[in-house]
Amino acid sequence: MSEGLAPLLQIVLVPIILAPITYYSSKKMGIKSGYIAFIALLYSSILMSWIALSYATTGRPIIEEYNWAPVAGLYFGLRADGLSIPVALIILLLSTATAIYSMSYMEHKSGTGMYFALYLLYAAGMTGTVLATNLIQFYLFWELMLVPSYFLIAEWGYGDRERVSFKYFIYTHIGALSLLAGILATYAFTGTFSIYELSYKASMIPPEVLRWILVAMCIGFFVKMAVVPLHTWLPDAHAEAPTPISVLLSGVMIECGVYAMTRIVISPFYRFFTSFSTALTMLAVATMFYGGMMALVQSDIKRLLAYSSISQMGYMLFGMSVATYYGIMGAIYHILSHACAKGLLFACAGAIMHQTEGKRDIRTLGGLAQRMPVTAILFTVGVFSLAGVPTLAGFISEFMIFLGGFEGAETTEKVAIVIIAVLCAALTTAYGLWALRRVFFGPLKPELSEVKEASLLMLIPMSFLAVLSFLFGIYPKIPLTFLDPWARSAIP
Amino acid sequence: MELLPYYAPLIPLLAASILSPFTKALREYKRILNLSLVITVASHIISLLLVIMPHGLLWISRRPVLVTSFLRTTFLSSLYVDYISVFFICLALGLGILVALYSMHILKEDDAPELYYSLLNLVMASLFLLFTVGDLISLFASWELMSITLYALIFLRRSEPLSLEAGTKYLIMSATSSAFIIYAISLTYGSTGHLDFIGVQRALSYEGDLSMVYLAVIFFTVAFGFKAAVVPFHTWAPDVYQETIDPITAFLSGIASKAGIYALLRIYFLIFPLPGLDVFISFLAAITMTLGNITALLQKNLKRLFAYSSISHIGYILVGIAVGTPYGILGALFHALNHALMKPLVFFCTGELRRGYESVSLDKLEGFGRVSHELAFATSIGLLSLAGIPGLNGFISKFILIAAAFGSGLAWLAIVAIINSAISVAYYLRVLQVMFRKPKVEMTARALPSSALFPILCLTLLCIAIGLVPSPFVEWLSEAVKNSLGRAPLIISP
Repeated sequence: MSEGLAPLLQIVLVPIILAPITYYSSKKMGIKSGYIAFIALLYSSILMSWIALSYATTGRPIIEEYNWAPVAGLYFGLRADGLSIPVALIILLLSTATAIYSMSYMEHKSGTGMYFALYLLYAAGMTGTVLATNLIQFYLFWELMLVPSYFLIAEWGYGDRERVSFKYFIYTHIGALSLLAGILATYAFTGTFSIYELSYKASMIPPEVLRWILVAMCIGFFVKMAVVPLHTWLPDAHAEAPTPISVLLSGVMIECGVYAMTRIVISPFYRFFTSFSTALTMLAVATMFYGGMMALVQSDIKRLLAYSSISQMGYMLFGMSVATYYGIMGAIYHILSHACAKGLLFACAGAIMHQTEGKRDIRTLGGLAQRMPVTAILFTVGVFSLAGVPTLAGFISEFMIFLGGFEGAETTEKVAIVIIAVLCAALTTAYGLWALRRVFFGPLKPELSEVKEASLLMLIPMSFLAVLSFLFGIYPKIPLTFLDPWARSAIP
Repeated sequence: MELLPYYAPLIPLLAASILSPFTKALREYKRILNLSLVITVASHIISLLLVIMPHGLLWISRRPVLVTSFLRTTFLSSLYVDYISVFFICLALGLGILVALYSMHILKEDDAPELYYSLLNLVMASLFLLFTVGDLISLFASWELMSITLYALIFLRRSEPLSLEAGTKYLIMSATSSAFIIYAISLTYGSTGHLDFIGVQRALSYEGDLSMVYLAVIFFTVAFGFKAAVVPFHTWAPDVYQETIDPITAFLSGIASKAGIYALLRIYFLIFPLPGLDVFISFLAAITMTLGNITALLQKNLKRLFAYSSISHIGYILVGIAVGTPYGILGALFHALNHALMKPLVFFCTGELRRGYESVSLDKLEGFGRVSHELAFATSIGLLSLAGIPGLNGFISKFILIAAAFGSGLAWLAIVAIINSAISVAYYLRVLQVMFRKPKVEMTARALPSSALFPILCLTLLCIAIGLVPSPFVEWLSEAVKNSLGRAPLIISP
């Protein structure tokens, strides 16, 4: 990897630089400016895949560092290692696929240039969050994913979008400020912002302070992850956002919280973190249960998927909080499988809404499999992956999460918690299959008889996500090439 | 020649005095306006060049330069110049140019532009003096000159009743604060026998009973805190900011409030480096931030909202002063710089809104962002920067301030500052939402005249540039703090 090429910097900067160009080109090109966004993200994805390949062959992380404000202790670094490569790659792949999907979705809407410009910034923000090497830069990208997504929801969302986007911004921003307080307090004791120096400087923080620092940071991450009881922004925001943005919100943005938690809380402060383990496990089970129950009673298809996301975040938190090798690896693996499955499901919901002129109430849908067979198949794949059907990615990750749970369960109480968590997984199957039946099967509603299959621009990215679900389900070795060495070195 | 830069205040003073008689001769409004502007900008640029010109002593000795007076009396009229003075002078001059430019199209024919520009020069000369004087009496004199000139500027449109009320309020508060300064000076002289900064500082070190000195410091804080709009001496600010014309509002919140900050810095760190002041200042900082932010939540008038936001930002700057370490003061200076960019930016934007839509009330401005794109972009950058969103300048300095507070054991103050940041986002975001909401009535796009476009563009770009590449500014400022505080001055007598 040559020094001058700076591939990691390009991955983050190319979308940011092309954002204003996309905006201005839309004045001439209209909706076609989406292709610029697509090409920018495709370029970043290809670079990222190249980096992944080079990591897989050499096994050495790729690090780039630049000066930013050395006096204030700030520098700008990017690092691709076994943990960040798979997560960054799935973010870029999902954003690339959704960029094509957006072109069909945004067809008849105004302000497409601004949409794609914000879209690029949003994607760059998420990628930067994952690649960041110091906490301030991390915070910068963490907020960069908030601001564009706020505008995207406020401008192109549905329903009471002004209130919803406001709620989304305030919740997430307060979470972020809590995180900032944690970051700055860490700095006050260790004198470093570097995420990688934290692990051997962790002992410089007195334990009673460290407890509060971790609480402050976890609040920040839990808001993003929508862990019960900090979840109330999510159903609103994910349901009312424009569907391609719901795909990204549910598919990868909230997962950034999982990544950040692993990177910043668990990995450096592992020994201390395990003392929280039981409490967090209970929180995780509550989140799984609550999300699943709420999803069961929703009649709005996007709201159902939003609550399902909360429940899935519970799985990931569960995997992390048991803090065993398999648990944490399963949580990260679940990022990948959830990104594909939930992205796919939201995209299907968007396709249905697009083809039925905005119908999203499940009670008004039915029998759509006759009219939209491909969408029906893809939706089924998504539901099966979430429910953990073997050969799909969800099976591998849920298997690892629960395996990790039993691995760490030394007492009967802990075994009981894990068993409850496994039972909660049944809820996923319940709401998934029931929604599938109500939307796609049964008699076709007469007013839906004119509905046509979604356009290819929508079906291609959706099929891509389904293929990824199968790929990660059949060849778990692909992500594990990266995750396994990382998990072995990071978790004692 | 060595001392030439110290006579730079004479240039705006000269410009102020010749401007009115010279331009009067032109008779035609447009030509008077143009000539006044040219003279003002020229005087600012020349003095700016004189100040930043590499003048030997300050840059070489890397410590403050004290020039003793020609008259060797007790009332030493001396100059005390260090990097911090140069920083504030450059800030004032740079913004002064933008304010002068922006005023071009805001002024009306009966506003007497030659007088207006003459006053702008005069206030700049007074600020110049304020930032370079080395003893309390000269400090008081330049402070008064500034207050009275600002009063004339605030009172510019005296025919409007609300402007009259605001001006009167300002005048009364200003006069009270002057009384406090005089009282504090006499207390200082009584207990130390000195009036020049260094003399007072040295006398303090072997003074036994310091209670009078502490009282003097509190009085100084009241007086200078008034100009900086520190709670509880802030009550004039929202009224005055709301009612004066926008370039003057920008000037008041961008520069005049920083004069208060400068004076406070001098009081706390040069003249009276007393122990125990940090508790007092951190208390002031906490209530200033909190009250400013909470009151701003309730505002419907955009200018009033920004006035309260100004107050809260002064609170953030005070956090750095309360911390008192070089890192904290660096944060305070950097935030002063950033606030002096963001606030004039939003006030210039409100000026354009007032001109375009005849109102700065939030409910009348619904949806202007959908039609006036340039204005909406600049306002959004200003708002996001004020809210402290990373990537823009406001974040970097706020971050340094909070980090400094955590680092020096004032964790409670840091947490108060963070909570305040969270509160403030709510009202900045509300403005953003109103901007881009679907308008109830048809909105028409308003083009910006070039005299508005240039200052707004300058400030917007600076906000983004400092946010992305803060290192040169942070490095210079940390150098400035290092070379200014705690170093014995180089004394020269002419």
